Amino acid sequence: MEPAIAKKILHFIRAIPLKEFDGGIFSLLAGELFRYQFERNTIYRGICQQQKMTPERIENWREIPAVTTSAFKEAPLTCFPAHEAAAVFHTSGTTQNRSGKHYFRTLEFYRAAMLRSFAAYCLVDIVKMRMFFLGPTVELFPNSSLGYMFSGLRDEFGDKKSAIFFSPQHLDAPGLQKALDEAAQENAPVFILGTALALLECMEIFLREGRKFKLPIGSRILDTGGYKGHRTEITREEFQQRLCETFGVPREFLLNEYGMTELSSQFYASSLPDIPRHHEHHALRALHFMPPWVRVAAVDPEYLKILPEGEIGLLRIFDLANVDSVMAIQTEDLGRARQDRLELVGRATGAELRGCSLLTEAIDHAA
Amino acid sequence: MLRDFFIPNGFAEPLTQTRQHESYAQSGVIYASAQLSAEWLAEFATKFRQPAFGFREGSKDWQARAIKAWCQVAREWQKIKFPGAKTILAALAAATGLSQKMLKEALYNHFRVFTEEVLNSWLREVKCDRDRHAEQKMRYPALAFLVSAGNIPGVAIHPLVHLSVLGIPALVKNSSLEPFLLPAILTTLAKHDPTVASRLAALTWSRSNSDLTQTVMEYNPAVIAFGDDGTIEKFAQRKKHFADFGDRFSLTIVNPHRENLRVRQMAYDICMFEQMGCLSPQAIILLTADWKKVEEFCARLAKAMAKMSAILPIGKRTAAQHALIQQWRGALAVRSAAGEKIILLTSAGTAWTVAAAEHFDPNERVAYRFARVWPVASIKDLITIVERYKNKLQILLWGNSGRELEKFFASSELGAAFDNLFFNFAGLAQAPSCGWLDEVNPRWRRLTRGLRLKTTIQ
Repeated sequence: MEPAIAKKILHFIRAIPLKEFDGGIFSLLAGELFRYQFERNTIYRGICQQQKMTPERIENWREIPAVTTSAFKEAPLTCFPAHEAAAVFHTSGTTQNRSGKHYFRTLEFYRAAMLRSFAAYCLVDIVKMRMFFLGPTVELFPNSSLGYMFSGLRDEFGDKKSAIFFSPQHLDAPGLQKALDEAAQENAPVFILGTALALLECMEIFLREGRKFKLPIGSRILDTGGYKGHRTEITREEFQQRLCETFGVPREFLLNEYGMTELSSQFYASSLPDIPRHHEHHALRALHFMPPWVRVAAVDPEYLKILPEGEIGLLRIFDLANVDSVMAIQTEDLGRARQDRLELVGRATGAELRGCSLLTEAIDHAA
Repeated sequence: MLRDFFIPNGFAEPLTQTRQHESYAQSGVIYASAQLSAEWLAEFATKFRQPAFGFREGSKDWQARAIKAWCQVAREWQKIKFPGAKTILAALAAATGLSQKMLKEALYNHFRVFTEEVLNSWLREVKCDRDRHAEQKMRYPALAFLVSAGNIPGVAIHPLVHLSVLGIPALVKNSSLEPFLLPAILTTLAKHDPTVASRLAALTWSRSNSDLTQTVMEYNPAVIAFGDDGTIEKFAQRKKHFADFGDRFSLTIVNPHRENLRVRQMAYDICMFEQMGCLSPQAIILLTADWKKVEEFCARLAKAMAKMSAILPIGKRTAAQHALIQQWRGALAVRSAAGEKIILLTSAGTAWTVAAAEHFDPNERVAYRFARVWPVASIKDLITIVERYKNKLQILLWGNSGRELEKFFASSELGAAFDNLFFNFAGLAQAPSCGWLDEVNPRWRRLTRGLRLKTTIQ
């Protein structure tokens, strides 16, 4: 039977105005969700007990004990029997590191969170677009959270000519080229979504062939994941410059997604027209929009103490959409929260390659 | 001023630029950086490459001269007492994040073995091996290209000294992470004997500058590469004269039921170089089935780690390094919550960690003073572990007395499991003998003997 807190959170995700950052409701839901997870998730309860934390001792959502992303490699962190999972998303493993697994009793929360924030920050008022994917989709990568997300976005927001140009075998740059040419002829704006590594790979192919595009007005590109591990070193600034030059898309139509398998919600850096600009926007450090069912605290890397708002530290993310696993996730990423935005300062250098970028890299090696 | 290059006398120097090192500690180390071009490097390599002395006629004079010069360098560098020592230590600390105390200890360990007696003895052994395999002899290379790594300062010193004694012209590619040490050492060598130094050079460029690397490769050098898998892979295509010191790790074995445990030494091995090198133990294998003994051992080790951290302080850790430690600890916390037997003892912050579990995978690496204690119930279990990781093992360290080691080797259960594995005592992992590279790397051994690659030396 679905717990009462699940219904409340689903309603909250579906109904709350995205600009509304009501601390009161969030705190109530977070407290209730923590109590639910403490009761149902035995491994998580064990972790809380190690830290001598119980629902009774929590006064603020910031105090809710977090699990590290590495914890997902070690045991199923679930509020239900793991074998009953409707889906299991795997993190990208490396040769030296195992994958983590995030078990979902239902994908309802994930889907609700994904559709709401994507529509708000990446589409604004557009209902359907021609979407081209340079990243995993659920048919070919059933255990990839990004795969689920891309497929879900295609089904919900993609028009009939939307297509995928990415498979475990190869990146179909000629196919994408043909599709982009066709869209240009029809003057149909396109939305290219892909991992940063796949986009880089594609741009290199187009560069070798001397191909550049001038995509119809309104076209946009979303990248996700890093490009560590790519053959050549490249800064974000250079990456975006290349995107603009290759596809003929203005800078404000370049979007970035920050997410991870251990979460159910995503953050978007978006400067699309009609998206409110942040006064403190730093040219090189994108600010990502945080949906109101998520909060972020920065913690001191050495002692894991919560830092005052505005200070840079390791990001601890509290995601209400993680209903049946663990809401509070301790990441390895550096940044700070600024009201409804998240400023990513960087992924901890020296940390293992992770995220969706590895997917493309693995394909490179296999080819 | 510090420099990221050393060019022997008589060669055209490259253009230089004053730069600020993008170091860990953001301490603003200023140095002269060579602005290298492929053209300049080609011109340099053409002149620098020349027949090695090896053991050909007239080589004895060279060898004696080189040994004498290196021993003079070693005396100065062991004590770090020479003009500019403070500057180089500060720069190394800034570039690597290691504390100056640890760097002093590391330099002492690197250089203490270079005495005339030791180097002559090594040379005799090399000659003896070479003569024993006369049918497989080949000419020593006219150029060695030594690709150094940035995480362990001075990692290239031992091979460089050996190449120098054999009179093989050696060009070191410094890691751009730590470009100062070898040029400074070679400057000291040139001060004592410019002729010996004339066959050595150190230059710095980043791994992404493949044009420069390719330029050197065109001179068909023997390649000796330190570094991560990415670095090694780039050179692994070379079938001839290639010795890699890539991704390896070490393990410590200790029987807690015996007296005289070398606990302090085990802590030393882990703390040195922040556990980042191939000689750093990734786990301490405890020969016991008794969890109580594991608890006792961990408590003792934790005390030793705390003391060692005061003796060899941590330098500067980045947020990324703290984050990794927190993630490793977090993984163990969840294993404990899931019902596994886990011991987790930590400093208040991230200074050190002692963790015990019934299973670890050393392929999942840790660093930054993260001691993993892995109890095994029997010799059979130990053999299973050693066999599983044999191709990644650099050395095995013994945490009990020499007498106990003899008993261990005498055990009939061992069979051939430990054949060809290099043993040392705990506490000596980071202070290896002069010939340790020969022991752990057959390809390097063949290279120093000037033997064809397929030769097997027993």
